[in-house]
Amino acid sequence: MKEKFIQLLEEIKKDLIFIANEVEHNIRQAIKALEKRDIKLAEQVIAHDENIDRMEVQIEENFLSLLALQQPVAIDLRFIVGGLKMNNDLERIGDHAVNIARTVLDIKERPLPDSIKKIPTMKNLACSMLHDIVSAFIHQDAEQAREVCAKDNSVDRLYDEIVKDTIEQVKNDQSLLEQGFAIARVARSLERVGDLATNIGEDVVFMKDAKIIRHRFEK
Amino acid sequence: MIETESGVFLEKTKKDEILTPETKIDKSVKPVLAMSNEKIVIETKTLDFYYNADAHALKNINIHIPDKKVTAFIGPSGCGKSTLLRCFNRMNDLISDAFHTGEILINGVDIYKEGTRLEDLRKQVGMVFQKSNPFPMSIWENVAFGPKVNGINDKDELNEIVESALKQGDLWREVKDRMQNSALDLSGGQQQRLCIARALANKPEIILMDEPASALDPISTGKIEETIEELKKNYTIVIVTHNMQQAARISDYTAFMMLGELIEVDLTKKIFTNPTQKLTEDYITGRFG
Repeated sequence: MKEKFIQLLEEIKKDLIFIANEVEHNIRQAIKALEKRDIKLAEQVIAHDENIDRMEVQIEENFLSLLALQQPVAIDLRFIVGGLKMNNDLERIGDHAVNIARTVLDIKERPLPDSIKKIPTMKNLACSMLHDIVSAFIHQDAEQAREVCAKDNSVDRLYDEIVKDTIEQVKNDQSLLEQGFAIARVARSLERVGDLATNIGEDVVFMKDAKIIRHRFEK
Repeated sequence: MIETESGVFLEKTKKDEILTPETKIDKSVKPVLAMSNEKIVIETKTLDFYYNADAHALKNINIHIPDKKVTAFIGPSGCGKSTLLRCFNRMNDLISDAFHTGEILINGVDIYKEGTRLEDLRKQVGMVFQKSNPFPMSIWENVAFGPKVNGINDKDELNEIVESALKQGDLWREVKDRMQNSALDLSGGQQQRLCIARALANKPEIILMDEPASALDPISTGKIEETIEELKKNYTIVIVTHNMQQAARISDYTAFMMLGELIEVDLTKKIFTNPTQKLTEDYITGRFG
């Protein structure tokens, strides 16, 4: 019976890795759609989010079955509690890909403030956090998870810079007002991706070390 | 393998098969609880117990069991948990060839001290067994038996003791109108609660329970667990259980034993969420055993 339980845990782990890859891919595609003003790609991103939502629900149901039927304790219990939160955070990252894609549909071909040039850098940083945190999850590496969490400050700084630059540019050219808001929204979504990757990092530390490091309670 | 009264005792060689390099016991972590703010009722010091010269069942057990708490012992069959439980009221004295070294203290007094009366010890330390064992007599007689043996003959006083014990054992409401019926007519769960009441009638300080609910259905088990929850307000309870969910539900502290050694003792919440020893984690998550 225990072997079956361990096998089920492994399957859920694979599902989480799969949904994480899908979410990261959708964020990258959403930014690509923004850069190329590719309406069709933006629509694909929005459509694909439904698959991600379905996967999230399926993973949650599988976790609930494990809780109800196997009564896990210790490291298994922490994996399930942390995994449930991670699943939820991944789905929310998926929603941010949709937000970005919707922005692409809103702004169409209209000119954008120069601050957009920093968006790919921010995307790379946020996506690398997401990628690395999934790696930390796969290897249950709490140290790597902590390192990824520490990178969130860089994403936050970039967000502040983009907002500041956008405001300056909109002040100089008020015809960019609406598009300026759009860029700020995209930057905000990427900043949230960094936050949610950090949450997942905290979940990985909890799974591995049984330590709750969010809210900086950990001494 | 050596068969003993309390189960199968594993030979020493088996240990190396079970303990992989990853699950070796971290000796830097002492299994004894540091419970400075709690009164200690039972204490063992470097306790070793042998069923005979070749069967070393308990190895260097050092444990503190606190007052008015439920302490659960878990571990695979033959790990020594029932043997340890039986040490606390000298039940193992009944086994010929068995002997021990080290000390077992109750309220700071060595229970093997010269002049210790076994009757007094077993009155102080009551015991409930895996299989309910009511005497073939009436419900009332079962509960009154101990006090009568201890010299109480006044009928009113006995009635009072019986009622109080049955109420504490959560059986009074079910049997108060048929006290003269045979105890053997009760259901399995009721018989076990009768045995708890019988132990309580002697006004013990400590109650030892060896798998008290393992032969019961979930509803009867639930009643026993509720009874234990109530009893810990007034008694120190030590329970041996194979049911880890039960240990998690009812105990304040959990001790994990394996191959005669005490591996880890801690708050139950800690043991079941984040045990210190890898061996404990592997056992409670079912990765061996």
